[in-house]
Amino acid sequence: MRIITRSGPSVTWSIAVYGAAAVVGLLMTIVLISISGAPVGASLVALGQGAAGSPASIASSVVKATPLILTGLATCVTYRAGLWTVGQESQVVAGAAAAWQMSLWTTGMAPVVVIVLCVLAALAGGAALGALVAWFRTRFGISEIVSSMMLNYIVFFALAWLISGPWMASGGTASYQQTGLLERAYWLPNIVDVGKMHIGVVLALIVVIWLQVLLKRMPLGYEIRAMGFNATALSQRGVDKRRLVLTVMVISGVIAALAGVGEVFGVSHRLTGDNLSGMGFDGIIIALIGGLSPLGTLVAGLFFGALHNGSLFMNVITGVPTALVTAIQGVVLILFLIAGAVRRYRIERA
Amino acid sequence: MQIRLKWKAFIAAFLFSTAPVTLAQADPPKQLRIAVIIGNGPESAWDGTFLEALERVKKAKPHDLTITTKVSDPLWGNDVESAMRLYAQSGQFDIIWGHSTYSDQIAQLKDEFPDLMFVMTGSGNAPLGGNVYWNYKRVHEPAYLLGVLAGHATTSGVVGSVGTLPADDVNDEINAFFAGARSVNPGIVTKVAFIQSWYDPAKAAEYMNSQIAAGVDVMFSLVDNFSPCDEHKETVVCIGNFRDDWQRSPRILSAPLALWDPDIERLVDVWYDHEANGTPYAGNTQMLWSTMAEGGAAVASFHGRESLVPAKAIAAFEAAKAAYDAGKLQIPLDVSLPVSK
Repeated sequence: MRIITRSGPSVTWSIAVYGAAAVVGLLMTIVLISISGAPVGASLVALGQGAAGSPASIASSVVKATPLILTGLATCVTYRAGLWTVGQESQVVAGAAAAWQMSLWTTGMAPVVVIVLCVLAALAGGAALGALVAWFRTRFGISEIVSSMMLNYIVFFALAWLISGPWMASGGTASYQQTGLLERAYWLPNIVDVGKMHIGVVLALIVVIWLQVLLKRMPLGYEIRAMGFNATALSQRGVDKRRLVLTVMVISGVIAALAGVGEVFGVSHRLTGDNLSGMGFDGIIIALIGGLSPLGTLVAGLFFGALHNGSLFMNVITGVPTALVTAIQGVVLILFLIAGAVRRYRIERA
Repeated sequence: MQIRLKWKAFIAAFLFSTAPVTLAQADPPKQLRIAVIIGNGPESAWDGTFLEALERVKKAKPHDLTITTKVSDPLWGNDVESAMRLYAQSGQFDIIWGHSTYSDQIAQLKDEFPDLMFVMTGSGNAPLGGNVYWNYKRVHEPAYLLGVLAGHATTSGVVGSVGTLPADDVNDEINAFFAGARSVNPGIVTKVAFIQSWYDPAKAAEYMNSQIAAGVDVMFSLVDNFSPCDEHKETVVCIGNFRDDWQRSPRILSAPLALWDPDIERLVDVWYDHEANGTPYAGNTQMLWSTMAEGGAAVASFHGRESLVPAKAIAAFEAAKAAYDAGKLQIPLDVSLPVSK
């Protein structure tokens, strides 16, 4: 038996394979709910209601999906370039922290000015962290996996120091590791009057489209993909690999930072030690499920945002453990990775 | 609109089926239904001690009330608001008890559901008043008494503490422990570290081992891990935190205990007064806690392990405890950031 690469799998075949993965995923979800002892029918209804059963649920699902989509996109661009960074986690925090500092510097200015400057500061924060990883890689040959992982710790502890020291909330509340509440005027504006559907959702969609075009249609996207396929060949062609690594890591940092500023300025309205935790790592899973494609990441992010909100409803209404969503996420990841392999390869008898 | 009403009806129906309901509630009330949202899980001392106390209060039936509870999975951030909203919209609960830093979320709901009583717990909350009550817990008094014991028990002259996050209601007990130790041994060296998480046993072990390597021989562990105490059983005595974990390691001598019973009873009284007498809710805007004398905290039993420390340490502890019980010892409250000295 031999494994053969399919030449240009058809759209029909792709839909069939991923559709089958989704169906099997649903069946396995039902099995997991059964094992948890909760009523399957009521749980699935609750899951559906939480995911998309009302405008408020849809808004909540989309808001939860937004940071996942952004960190997923940050993963797409690096992994397509063959840069296996895990620094999305710290880039999210760097973006949020830079934006927070900017909000302190600009307090008193017109809200629109403050918000714009905060978003720009966030982008700069994420870009700086991405650039640092790129510099370690190109200047010292340090694997981006190692440097980005270590930077995650450094940024995490720096944040812990900031929110328990210079930025700690004061007055009205007992000392606690968190900033004060952001002034309402500086919150990211909502795009609809339902839930916390802030403007970051729109920014995420713009980034999806931009990254899709970049990777598919633009020379830089070609270079990024080419580096992922064969970096040596790309160098032989005369492309400056150092510049490309820097560009990719900066793009990744900027996108991840958008997730951070969106969460803090659009949802929680204060920085704590844990409200950004896990977003970067979740984004890696989302991007892999989305096949490292921006559009696929959008779909996967929306799916898991809805799943997250639905699982909360399941827990509150029928008592299904929320930890089940992590298990479902794992199952779906495996199924979609299998589907991806089935889509691209076939087995042939020798 | 119709869809929205349908799913709300569905939620109400399901919660209705899971929470016993009195159809025609007599006056005074006979039933109290509490929805509890926790942040870490029953395995953590913070949540575990509270849930145990809640069960004790349910059995005690204050005001002859039948108390039913529904406890969520650990929730944080925006999910808390969603869960609280679901509980509130169901109409099946009288109190929504958020057992953590949830004031941001409650602030979004309290005016929308003025007949519901909300409770939030611990540091990091902002006072909201009205129908929102701010429950607090301090165990600095028993921590001080155990510090007195530690001051006599240490042979290296170094006592340590590994904390979770440096918050008001964490700092207080670490400072009190060190103050107690210094009150009997002014030359003592204190070491403190925070794992920067509410629950991370693996990191806790690393920090504890580091302190032990630096000479700590009496360890006040607030981090739910005692394996380093076992690994250094020739040299280290450990003090637990919030609950009596003596079965987890033979090197645990005692712990300051968190007893939530008086806090729960006080808030049940508030709710009952509101329901039976129409007294308006007037949520506290200052931290409110029950002292050790009021039953809000205690020192865990030594479980016959007094021999882990010199007899003079036990004697000094007993003397300090007697002085506290007699009202002759005022234990200072210090919530500043503890530092190694």
